[in-house]
Amino acid sequence: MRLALLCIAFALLALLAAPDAARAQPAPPKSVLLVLPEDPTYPASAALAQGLRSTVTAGWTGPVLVDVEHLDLSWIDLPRYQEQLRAFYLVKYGERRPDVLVVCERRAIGFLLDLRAALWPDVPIIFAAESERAAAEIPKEPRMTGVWAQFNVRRTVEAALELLPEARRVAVLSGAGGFDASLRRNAVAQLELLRDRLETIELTGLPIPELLQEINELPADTAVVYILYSTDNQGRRYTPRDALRVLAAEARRPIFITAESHIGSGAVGGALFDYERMGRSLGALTLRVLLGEPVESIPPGPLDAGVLAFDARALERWGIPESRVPPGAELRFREPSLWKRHRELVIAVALAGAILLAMVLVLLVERRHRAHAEQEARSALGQLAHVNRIAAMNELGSSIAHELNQPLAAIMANAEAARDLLDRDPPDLAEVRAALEDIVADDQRAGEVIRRIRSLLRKGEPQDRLEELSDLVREVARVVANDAGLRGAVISLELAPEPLHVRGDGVQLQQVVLNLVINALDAVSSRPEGERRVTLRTRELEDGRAELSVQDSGPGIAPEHIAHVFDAFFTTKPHGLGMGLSICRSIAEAHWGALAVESPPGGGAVFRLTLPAPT
Amino acid sequence: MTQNPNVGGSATQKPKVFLVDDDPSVLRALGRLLRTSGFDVESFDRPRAFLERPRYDGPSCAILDLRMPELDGLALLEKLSGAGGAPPVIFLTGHGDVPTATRAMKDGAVDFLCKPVRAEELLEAIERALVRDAEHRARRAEQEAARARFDGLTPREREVCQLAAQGLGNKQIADALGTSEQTVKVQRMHAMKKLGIDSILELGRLFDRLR
Repeated sequence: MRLALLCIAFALLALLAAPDAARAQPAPPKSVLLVLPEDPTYPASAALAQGLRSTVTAGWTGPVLVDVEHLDLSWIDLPRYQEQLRAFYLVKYGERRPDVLVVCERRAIGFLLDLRAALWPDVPIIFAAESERAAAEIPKEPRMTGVWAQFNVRRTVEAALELLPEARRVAVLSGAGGFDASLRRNAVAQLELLRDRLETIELTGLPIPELLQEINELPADTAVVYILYSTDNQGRRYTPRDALRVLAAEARRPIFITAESHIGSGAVGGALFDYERMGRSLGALTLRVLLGEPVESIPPGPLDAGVLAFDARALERWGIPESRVPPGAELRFREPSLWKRHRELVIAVALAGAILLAMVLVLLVERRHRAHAEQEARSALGQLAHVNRIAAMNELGSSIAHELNQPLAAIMANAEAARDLLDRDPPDLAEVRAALEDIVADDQRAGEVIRRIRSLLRKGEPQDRLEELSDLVREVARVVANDAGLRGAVISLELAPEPLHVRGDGVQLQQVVLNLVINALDAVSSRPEGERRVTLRTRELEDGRAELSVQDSGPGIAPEHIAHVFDAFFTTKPHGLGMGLSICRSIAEAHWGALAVESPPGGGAVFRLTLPAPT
Repeated sequence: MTQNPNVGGSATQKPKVFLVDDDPSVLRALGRLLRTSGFDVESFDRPRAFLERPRYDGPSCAILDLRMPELDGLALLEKLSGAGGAPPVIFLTGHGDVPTATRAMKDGAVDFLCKPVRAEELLEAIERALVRDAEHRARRAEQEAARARFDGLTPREREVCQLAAQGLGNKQIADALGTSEQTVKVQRMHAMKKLGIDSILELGRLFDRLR
């Protein structure tokens, strides 16, 4: 165990030391020559060169140069050209020796193999063939390895069938160039496998206008696959990507593709071979060879098509629902949403909106709660107020009974007198009539007493009405008048001549008045008869509020008590509950008003109820 | 209600009912009822006005409202009793309670009725009150007669009678007055004759009445 740990430690040390050792030596400049068949600015060429270069320069610690040569073999397919080209390179590279040769496409490979034999027989070659078939055609030579692309035309077509379920045919578009033909052959070979399901139509090398016409005359159940179009049969050259762009724009059919470099040019998409990825694979092999790995020990192998990807704009153009896109496929160029384009702004606006909404919600909830609480408080106050009214009425009880029994007694006496009068011979009808008239009057009087009491004892939902304060006071004064008389007290009213409108519950407001008046009557009871005065005044204050004051000629409120008169359960009366004034203040506040007291020395108490003017 | 109201009064004189109530409609209604029932009714809406009325000597009673401003029924009763010779009182109340009723009865009220009151109930109460009034007046008449007779005695005869009523014998009276037993005996005999009584027992009763 200990030995094993020791070994691992040494191995780690060695690894850590290695870069330092490399740096210590003068770095030998490395050189890689990439030979492309076509213009290195073609998208596919550029992508491949970029993949290779970035991998090699990133992976190699010392200086490394990647030179690129392109042979243009596709468009100058002449033996003399190749001879001249070979002579040119013999001169150009007579004194230079790349460390690794990288070459793409079968014919370019053949050309380079010939050149290597003349210039650098021992320099390793890493090739990239366009298909397995092309790879197989490469002459077997030493110090050579490579990859071959697997353009997955079949997968592209299968995906096309998912997007266009009604398709029964597939049209294969390609140019007339050598590389075009190579790829087309590969495609057709793959489509052989689908022949049970699809009829394959080859549209090869036609000039673009004719090709378009052909495409547009294809049967409706045909899917179109673009392979490569770099040259038409008239010898006109095209950048394959530009040719595709023209075709895709003009064709009245969706066009599927097989190369990463072709997406974004109007085609729908497909299983895309990625040249940059191919370049990275070649770069990785190059690094291995530069690091000294014998090239013969690296077997050639296939390079899969990259991803299945589609252009969302093209799908939209052809009305293909995104739901048909096979699972795992990429959907590119999706129209940047509002979200993507103005992400920050959208976030800010959405956030502001959310905050605003939250605040509104909070306020609404709070308002609901408050309304609920207010209702509950009002309801509780209503209950309490009702009990207090009954208590107040109870205090007035004997007085009320007296007041009610007076008319009842009169009615009874009149009725019995009338009966006796009728029994007389002759009956005294005039007196009977007088008795009956008195009965009616007394009955009305009794009814009035009951109505007033009931209105004061009324229980129910608190009302919100427009009430006239002086009227309310007058009614209460009428209810307590009898009681006041029995107590030897005089209630005088000094009411505002103009109406004093207030909002709220008339019963509750009258209750406040009643409580204040009963308290005042209690207060004056200690005074000698003739000095028991209670004065009720109403007036409009300068700010528009209505005020009722209840002033008594009693002994006033002791200074130590005045702060507590509105406290619940505070009372100086032997039988009082001490709830009256507390409830009165609550009622006043529930009406957005106030109830206050003052007791100037040497005088009685003055209670002031102020209520806001109705809005 | 065809009751004979002339209890304890002469056949020609209607008994008088005094009504005292601060409520004019009650006053009017009860007045009507009682007049119909054969009474002479005199109404007062203020207790003090009733107090100020000169004493009535005929058969009468008073119906007082218990709760009145100025002076309540009980206070009025007290003042009436103090004045002496007041008619029997019936209380009428709109809101009766036991303590008030008890006090009213103790203070000498004949009855304590609650409003509204049935005529029958009220007339029965009035009847009882008039009976009591008749008794009062009869006793008062006797008393006054006795007083008049007593006033006819000489001062010495009065002294002798007073001492005799206290249960003193002639000898003791003579000692007390500083005269002879024989003189006392003669004076006593004269006094008994003037007072119209036969026994010393009756003399005691007479003095009780005069007291």
